[in-house]
Amino acid sequence: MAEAADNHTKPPAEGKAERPMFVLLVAGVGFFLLSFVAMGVLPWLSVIGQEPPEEFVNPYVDENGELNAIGRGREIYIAEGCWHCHSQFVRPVANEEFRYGPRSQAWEAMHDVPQLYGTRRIGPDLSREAGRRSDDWHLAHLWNPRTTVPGSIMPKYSWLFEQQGDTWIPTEKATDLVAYLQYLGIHFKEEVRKQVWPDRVTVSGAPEATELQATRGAELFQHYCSGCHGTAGDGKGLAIDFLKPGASDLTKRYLPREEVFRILFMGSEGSAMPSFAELTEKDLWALSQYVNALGEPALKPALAPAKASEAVLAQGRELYRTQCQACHGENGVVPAAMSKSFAGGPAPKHFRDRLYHPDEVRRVLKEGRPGSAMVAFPNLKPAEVDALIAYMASLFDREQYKVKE
Amino acid sequence: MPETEPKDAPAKPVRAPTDQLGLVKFHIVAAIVWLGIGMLGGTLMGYRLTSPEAAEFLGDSAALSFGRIRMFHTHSVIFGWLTNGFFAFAYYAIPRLVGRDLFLPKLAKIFAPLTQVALVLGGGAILMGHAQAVEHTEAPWWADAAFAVCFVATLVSCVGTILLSGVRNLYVSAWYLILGFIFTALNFVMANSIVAFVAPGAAGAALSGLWIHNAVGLWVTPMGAAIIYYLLPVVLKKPIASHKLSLLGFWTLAFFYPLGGSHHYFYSPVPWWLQMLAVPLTFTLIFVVYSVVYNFFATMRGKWSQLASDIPLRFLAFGLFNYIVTCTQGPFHALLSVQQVVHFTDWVVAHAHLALFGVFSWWLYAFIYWIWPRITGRGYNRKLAEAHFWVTLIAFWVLYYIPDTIAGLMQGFFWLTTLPLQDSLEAAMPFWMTRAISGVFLMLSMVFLVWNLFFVKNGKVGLEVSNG
Repeated sequence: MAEAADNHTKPPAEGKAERPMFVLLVAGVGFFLLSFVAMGVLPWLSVIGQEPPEEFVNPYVDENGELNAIGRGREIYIAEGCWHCHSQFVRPVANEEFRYGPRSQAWEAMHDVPQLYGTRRIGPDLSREAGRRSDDWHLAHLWNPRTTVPGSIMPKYSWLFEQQGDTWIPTEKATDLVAYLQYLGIHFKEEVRKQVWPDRVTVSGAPEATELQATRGAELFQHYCSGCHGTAGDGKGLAIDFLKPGASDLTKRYLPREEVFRILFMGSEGSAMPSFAELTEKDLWALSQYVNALGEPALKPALAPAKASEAVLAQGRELYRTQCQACHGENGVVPAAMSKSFAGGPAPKHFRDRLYHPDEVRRVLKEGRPGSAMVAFPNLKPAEVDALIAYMASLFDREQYKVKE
Repeated sequence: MPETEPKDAPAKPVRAPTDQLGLVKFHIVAAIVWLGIGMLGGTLMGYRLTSPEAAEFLGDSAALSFGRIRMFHTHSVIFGWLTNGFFAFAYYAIPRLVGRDLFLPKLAKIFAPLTQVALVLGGGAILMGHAQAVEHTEAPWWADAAFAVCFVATLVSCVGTILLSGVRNLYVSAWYLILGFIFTALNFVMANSIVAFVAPGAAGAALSGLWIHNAVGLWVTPMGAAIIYYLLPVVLKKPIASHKLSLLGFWTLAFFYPLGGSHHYFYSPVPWWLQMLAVPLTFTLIFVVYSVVYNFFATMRGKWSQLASDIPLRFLAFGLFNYIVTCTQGPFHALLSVQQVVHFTDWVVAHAHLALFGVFSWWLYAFIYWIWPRITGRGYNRKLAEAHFWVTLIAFWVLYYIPDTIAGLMQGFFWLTTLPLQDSLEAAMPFWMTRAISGVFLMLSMVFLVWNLFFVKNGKVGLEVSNG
């Protein structure tokens, strides 16, 4: 039986606006159609008017209409709900163009059905990802985000990889997803590249080394660098299986503070080493001091060969001229044409600005540096290697970097 | 208590319809199960954001990974919890509002369990990696199609009852029920066809804005409004203060609300004129909100003391308090200066939970506590109900809403600097920790609810009302 109390839910008087059919047709159907036209159809027509600057064929399918690697990667991106934490549009406000790159244009997403703009950002926006990071960085990051970003709270996607013995191999799913990530913002790749990977800068004016900076530097190192370079800085971080070229063993090379600052600021395009230009200058100097100190044990053995006899140095000079100079440049200064990423790897190193532990030189000459243009020189005799080491040590600009022997 | 008929009540007496108590009970039980699952997912997600170590919790399971749980959580609470709860309310209230037996009760009884099947299929598909990228309806198209059929079947029963009753002047709850069902059926089908498969890029975003905005605005909101406009006079035993104002609120909601959806994509490549249009149209909604608020306060006049003893009324009142807060926030989000800072942040997450949990879930709690003795003939235990109320209130406000709002502001202001994004995450982690803890407490409060409804013997509360 209906309760008496329900008598209170009665309308007071009869009126047209309350008739059920009127409510149904006007409010339910009519206002839906109105909003569909106003919010959907009209903007749609107005978006169609915005043509891309050049021909832009569907990037997700091949000639036969089958999904290609980018398209398959997009499917995985959708299935894993990546878009719930990573937006895909750069707003023209709130510093976003500075942080991510040029603001988003409507035509960029003209092949995206459904669109993936997203409404939430826990991690960074990904619409300007093309050319920002290396493939191996992405693979390591997907396998376990803590490898490349120790403080990350992103989930790991280890099911996109297969374990073979002690190492993890990316499946096609992982490489497809990386293909998609490297596609995002492809039209603005050059602009982003200029922003993210500046031309080589000259750094000077390192502040006096202090205890405080050392402490801060150590903290920052664990926070930002340890995933790849290892907690001890020996290059044996979590990401070791993935990175090519591998992360540098910072205990086996002496890097002046200005050089560390430069790499931190610029990153090393072609390798997984990103730019840390977002950090404050103070933090960059603190980190530089710490990394510089990590290499101190390498300094003495690295400098020692510089005192070699003139004959040995001459042999080294000749070997350097024929074998190394094309890339590493005369006097250890890489020619401008070579000082950017090439052959898919990082730029050659300036020997004027760094010193390697002799063991490290021997290792790299023997094994090369896979993932970079540095090949192995297995035919060099030990004496020749020693001569090269001696000559390289003499190239280092001890005066500029105020290195006492 | 003596009857106080509204002076201008229609002369025609309303016939007492047959209650579909089994149907109502089924949907309430289903709703509670889905809420439990949804909260578990939410808490798991919340915990994983609290530290890099926590991010790896159950991290090797693809099905339980953050992204999939994120979609499963909204699927569970919007369709599983709220929608089942609204169906329960519709099946109970509509026959009583129009004085006619439910139209095609067999259809409703067949589709009640089928709805759950469709929802399980959709949720399962999301966890198995078959999600589609349409926010708030991420289940794949075939599960959505199954759910759409169930939804339309429910619509036929519910709206059909109203249309066939021959009642020409409807109480405001019935308008809201018609609006919610019709608009949402169209909107849901639009989202899962046009947004999912046809509309590209910015056009897709505009339509996605239409869908997500109105999933809240023209499904959850009208259903919630229907509940409070129904329960408030029934619980207080007096008619609502202003019928005219409720009329104004209804029509402004129905007209203006759908047009503001592009405010979910401010500063995106969605056409600028559409974004600009969304600013004033969204701001207009403040009038809708205060028509409900005024009506509530005016109706409550002289009855406030009843809050102390009446559990359903208390959930209604505190839900309304949350409604005031969240709906005052909303129009201000549409101001571009605010939008620049809070968009993409946890501010919005807190705001959304205040609306969907703090308001509409609490109004459903009110409905459940009110209806349960009428369905089962069992009263509930006051202490457990009080525990449910207070734990919910405190855990949500102190541990969730306030910290998450602060976290959102911190993120927004961090992003205005050039500091690494990572810093904004670390700044938010302590607040995310309290949010995760609130999840645990909210699940505890669910235990109180479930214990009270299903396991308490000799509960007294609620029985006296149904006998009155």
